[in-house]
Order: sequence, then structure tokens, then C-alpha cells
Amino acid sequence: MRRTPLVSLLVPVIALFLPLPKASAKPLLMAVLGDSISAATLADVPFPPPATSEEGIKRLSEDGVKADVLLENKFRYSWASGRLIRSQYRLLKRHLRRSGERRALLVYNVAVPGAETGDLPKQAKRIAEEMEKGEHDELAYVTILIGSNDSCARRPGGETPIATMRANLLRTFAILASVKQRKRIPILLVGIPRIPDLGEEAIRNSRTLLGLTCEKVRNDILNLCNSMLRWKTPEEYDRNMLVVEDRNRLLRLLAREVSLLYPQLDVFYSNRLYHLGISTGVLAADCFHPNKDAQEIISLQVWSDQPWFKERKPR
Amino acid sequence: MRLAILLSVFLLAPATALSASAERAEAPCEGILIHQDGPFTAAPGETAVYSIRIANVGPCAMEGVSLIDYIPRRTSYLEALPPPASAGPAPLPTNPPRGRLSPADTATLAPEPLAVERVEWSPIALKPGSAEAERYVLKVRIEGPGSRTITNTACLEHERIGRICDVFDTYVK
Repeated sequence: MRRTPLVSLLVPVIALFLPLPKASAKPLLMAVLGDSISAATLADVPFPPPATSEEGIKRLSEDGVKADVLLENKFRYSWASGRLIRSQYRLLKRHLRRSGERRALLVYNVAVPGAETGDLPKQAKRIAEEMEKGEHDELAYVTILIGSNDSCARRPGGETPIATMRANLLRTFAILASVKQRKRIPILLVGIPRIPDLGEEAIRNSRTLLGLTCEKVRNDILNLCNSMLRWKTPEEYDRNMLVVEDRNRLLRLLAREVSLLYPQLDVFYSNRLYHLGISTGVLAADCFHPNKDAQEIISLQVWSDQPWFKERKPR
Repeated sequence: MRLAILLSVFLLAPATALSASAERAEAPCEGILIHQDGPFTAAPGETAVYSIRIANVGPCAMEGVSLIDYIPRRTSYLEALPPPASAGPAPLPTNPPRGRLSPADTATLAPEPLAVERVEWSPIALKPGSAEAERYVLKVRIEGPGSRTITNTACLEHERIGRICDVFDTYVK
């Protein structure tokens, strides 16, 4: 007797009742590179702040990353990775869920307060090594917000030269390009905000910690970006803005160049932060870093710019 | 054998349809284009004219689109055609209510003295599948002194596209 026709009939019927093959059990990874903005430094220290001793302020500026709660708030309030605000991580998770993606999404924020472009290759290496472990299915999204510390200098004219920034960034992208995966890696490269606007008189003279002026706390005690913020004349302001604009232009052109140089990378530049005005309402108590509201504003604004994960409205 | 394959197609197709019935989202709009043109060089005191063309070659009918031009720093707004809905300092951004994601800025505070200058045309309706581009013109006066590169940024904004921008660099001699 020939059994073949009966078996052929039964196989597809039986297949209906078998469980569908599971999506890969390995999660997706989102990576965050950058400086204190992405690390959410002081995001939870409001303006005006609670009372803090002057000695405490000085200690904060000297301790660096030891004061984890104040100087890094990546888990809660980072525009890129925070869980308590509408960060890039949460927005991407929502997008993936709405698109039917079943793999989990993890985020690895390696941003370091004070980082310059020269520090990015080290950060990129950490991401590449994490992917090398084989515990993630793919690198689904990378954010890089850098350049503010390159623009700030101990004295005017001491900024990181454009050519040096370019070399640093090319090294960074070369490392990210070493991540082997099928899909292109989307990388959002975010430009530098209008740092010199923080030196505007209304902000300088605003009262913050201990009732001291922003200029006293930020520039005299904490020495934050004095080269960009102590301008007195329109000409000095213009000079400082050109420093920011020239570096943003570099980032914009490099995004295009890198996407051609490394086809496995899809780099998109957003200049959105440069077009956002700054007021004391978006500042932390040091009158320099963005507070948690501003972190969310940053995230929502640049999310509109990124071209890969466009908002899908449920039917 | 052929009967088995035919039957499996008929049996599997509805099963596939059922499993794909999880929430279907409306796709974002493709085919929205923006392109800028302007002078490669200019001198202080001169008028720079930027021409912005927008087109919708995709399938979505788009209502309520905004075209926002962030005029280059150290230029002064002279004129825009067609007449814009607004020209002047941009409102400061704030967080939209939770549960609604929008690229639009919402003003809550008076503009600060160093506000970003911009020109806005809105609302714009973009018909789907248009072969012709709509043209917008912006005229600014280049302020001196100092040679530098200035950048004009023009962006289309709508919740179905987020923000799509084009930039144009002009070297000021």
C-alpha cells in the first residue's frame, strides 16, 4: 500500500497545530555614546536648587564620576536611556512593539561626563566588545551626542581643532563599523547646542545654589566652559558661536561621509539642539547642564529628526 | 503530492492571516521631499535669496504641514513669499502632554533675548502624487563684519513625518 499520499495530506494539517518558531531569544541592543548630557549629569538637581554648602559644590566639581547619583543619571533621566522620561530608549521600545518586534530591547549607555571626541573611540570599543560577546541579536540603534567639551576650552582659541575632531570621529566610526551584523546600524549623531547662549546676561545673573548667581557658581567655582560663557561683547559672542557652528558643520558633513565610507553604518545628523532656545527653565542647578525636563525635550525633539523609526499610528 | 501542496496552501493561508492580525499600524508617509537652493557666496550688506521647494510624491494626503526656516545667525529677515504665518523669535520648547508625541514647539515662556529667529509657513496642504513642487522664497540681509560660513535650515514638520530638513551653506566673504 502506498502511504505517501496520506502522509503528504496530514503533514500540513499537523503543522498547523505545531507552535510557530520563536523569534531569536537574544535581545536587541541600543548604545549611547557621549558626554555629560547623555549621562544626564545633575538632571535631577533642579533650578533653583535645594541648599548646598559652597564646599559641597567644590567637592562635586572635583570628585568627577565618584558622585554617581548627581553626576550621572543614565538610568532615570538621560535623554537617550532614561526610564522615567520619554527617552530615545523608551520611544524606540514603543516603536518596536507597535511594529510587531518580539525581541527585547536593552540599552548600554557608556557616555562619560567631560568626554570629548578623543574619548569616543574608547566608548565605541566598549560597544563593539559588548556585541562581540554574542549576547545580542543586533545593534539596533546608536546615539552619539558630542562636541560640547571639544568646544569648551580653558581659554579662547584652545578648542579641539576641527581636524582633530574629525580624526577622532573617524576612528570612532571605524570601531562601530567592526560590529558584524546583517542590518545596517542606524546612528543618530546629534549636534552641539547653543552653548554661548548660556552666557547671556539674564542667565548669568539668575540666582541658583545658596542664592549665588549662575556666573558665580558655574564660572567662578565650577569653571564650566568659561571660554564659551564669559563673553562680554557681541563680537565675543559671535566668535564663540562660530566655534559651535563650525563643529556642527563638521558633524553634518562627516555623517554623510561616514555613511558612504562604511556602508554598514547609516549615520544621520540632527542639528535640532542648535535650533532650540535656552532659558533657565531647562537648566540644572549648575546653570549649565539640562535638567530632567530638558532631557525629555531633547529626546522628543531629536526623535522627530531620526529617519528610521517613524511614528506609526494604530489603526 | 500536488493535492497535498494545494491543501496545505488553503489550510495555512487563513492561519497566517490570523497570526498577522496583531495591531496593524498606519505606515508613516513616504515621498515627502524638501530641497533648498541659494547663493554659494555673499558679502555683508547683500541680500541672500533662499528658494525652498517642497513636494509630496508619495501616497499620503497631508494637511496641517509646517514649513519652518531657521534663518542663519547674523542675517536679518527681509521678506518671505508667499507671506508666512509668522516670522521672528522661535518659542521656547516645552514638553507636550504625555501620551502624545509631537515635533511641534509649544510656547510657554516669553522669548529670551537670544532666541532663534525663524520663519514659518503653515498650515500647508500637500496633495499626494504631485509632480510639481511648491516654491517658497526667503530673503535675508547678510550682516557684517567677518567672513564665515552661514547655514540656512528649512524643515517640514508633521506628526506623520516627524521633521525633514534641508540645509544650504553660504560663504560670507
